[in-house]
Amino acid sequence: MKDTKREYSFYEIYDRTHIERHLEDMAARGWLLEKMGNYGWAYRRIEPKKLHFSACYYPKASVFDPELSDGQLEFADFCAHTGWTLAATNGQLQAFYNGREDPVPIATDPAVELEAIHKSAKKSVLIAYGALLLMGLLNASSMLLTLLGDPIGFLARGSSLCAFCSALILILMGAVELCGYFLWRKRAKRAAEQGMFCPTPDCSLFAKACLALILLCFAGVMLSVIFSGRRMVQLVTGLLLIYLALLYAAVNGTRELLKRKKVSASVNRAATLGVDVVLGLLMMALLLLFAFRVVDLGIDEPDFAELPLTTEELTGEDYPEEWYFRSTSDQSSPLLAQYTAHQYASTHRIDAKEYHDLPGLDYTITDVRAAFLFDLCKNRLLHADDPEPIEQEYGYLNEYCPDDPAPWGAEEAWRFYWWKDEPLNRWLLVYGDRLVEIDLDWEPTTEQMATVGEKLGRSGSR
Amino acid sequence: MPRARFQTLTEQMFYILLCLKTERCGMDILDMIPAMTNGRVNIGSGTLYDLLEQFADAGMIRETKREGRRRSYILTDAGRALLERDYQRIRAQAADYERVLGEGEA
Repeated sequence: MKDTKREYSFYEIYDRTHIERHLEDMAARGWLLEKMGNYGWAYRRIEPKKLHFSACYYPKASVFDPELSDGQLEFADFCAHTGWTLAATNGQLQAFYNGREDPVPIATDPAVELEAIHKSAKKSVLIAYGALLLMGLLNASSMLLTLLGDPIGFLARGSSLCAFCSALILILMGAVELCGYFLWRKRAKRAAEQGMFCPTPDCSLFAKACLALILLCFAGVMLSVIFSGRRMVQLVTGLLLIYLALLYAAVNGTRELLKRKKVSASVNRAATLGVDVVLGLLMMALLLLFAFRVVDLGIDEPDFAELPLTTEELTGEDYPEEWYFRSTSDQSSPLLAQYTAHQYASTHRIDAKEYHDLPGLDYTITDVRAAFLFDLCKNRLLHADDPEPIEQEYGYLNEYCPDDPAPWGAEEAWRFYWWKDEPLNRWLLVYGDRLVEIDLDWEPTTEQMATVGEKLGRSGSR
Repeated sequence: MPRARFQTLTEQMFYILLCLKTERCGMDILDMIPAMTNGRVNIGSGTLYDLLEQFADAGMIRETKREGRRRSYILTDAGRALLERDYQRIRAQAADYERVLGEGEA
């Protein structure tokens, strides 16, 4: 049977009601709190007994303190005088226990206790959740701008959706925890004026739920990266994760090492922050250098994958493979999937002796999996190149106009006109919940249109 | 409307200042108050520590000596004036009680 156990605590630092209740419950089950830290709470086995626990607050304490300060030791001496033994501390939070039947509580004045809690909260939970809220708002705002600028691209990327959800969860956490604290504080102040203590709210279940959701979003981002097929994205993400883990270990390791060396809290704080900033900047620099190197080495060059539709299939011509450059990109999410393919003449063929004016081909297939997004996506594609007012003054049309869908085997067909009565060889085709944009270097024949419909339309494969 | 700090003393604050009429250390106060009040008033060790810090910061008491971690305090003139003022308030309250309800009435 193990004599120690460890658990992660989801209680807020100021949630003394539930911290005390939990520790008393653990003691009754034979586990006495021994240590509180960032990696959880540690217990040691004891005979099950009824103990009273008291969560107290020493605002001047810090997680950077090398040891208990004289003030904390004096506080502990006062408490010991009335039978309270110090079990563990974590920053401003101190946990005491008492084996007496009906001990005098450590805190007997609610107003004084409330002030100590608030001073402690200002140095810990309020800063943490304020930062979380700010980070969530900044991330969400940035992603919202991307969503508004390119909604189809954004919604088609699983990683973007998961990251956006994570940002929203951070905002929710920060807002709920901060509001929860200040609402409780308001009630507690009113109660203290009447000489009464106000129980603290239990936010542990909410914290667990948010953590579970964030982990889910993280898993979503990772899966999206793994299945993206983009080697550079995979490499950079992998390196970033490894570096973040090392950074976390280095920062915490620095803090703990300096504590063991009995370095003062202020020096420890400055050194730990310095390590954090320097290693963070170094990480960004190394990742950028790595990304440039990857590009130089051509590691991220797209594969010459099989395209579902090629110019050869449309024109019937058989060109040497090296005459063409082919690229594809693929992204998907539960809401949308988007596949883009390009086939165009390799640059090295544009030489005077053996240059061939080869026909090029571009197409993008957008599968709208969420029906409520269909109209948004279609309208977005139809109006993606709407002319600016100045362009309109010069007579540019830049719009899709309805065309005959029958040759394409489609439900709708739209042809792009850059000038009145001057269409381009560019179409937007609708096949059920599939939108196909195709751009050709030549005017297609009816047979070629049918081939496009067969290969890329509803029954087409990719 | 919240009470301004030390405008009106709580019972615990009153007895802390009363105990510091003469030089005492914090732990002596913990024992003295329940003894003085026949157990009617008890002060928590954490509350006592915080209030001693607050009184010292406000100049109501001053530290007289330190023996290791044991600090002794004594009332200052400002603290004495504060105690006197609160005593007069309590006396006025008692006088109002007697006037309204009469000495023989329960």
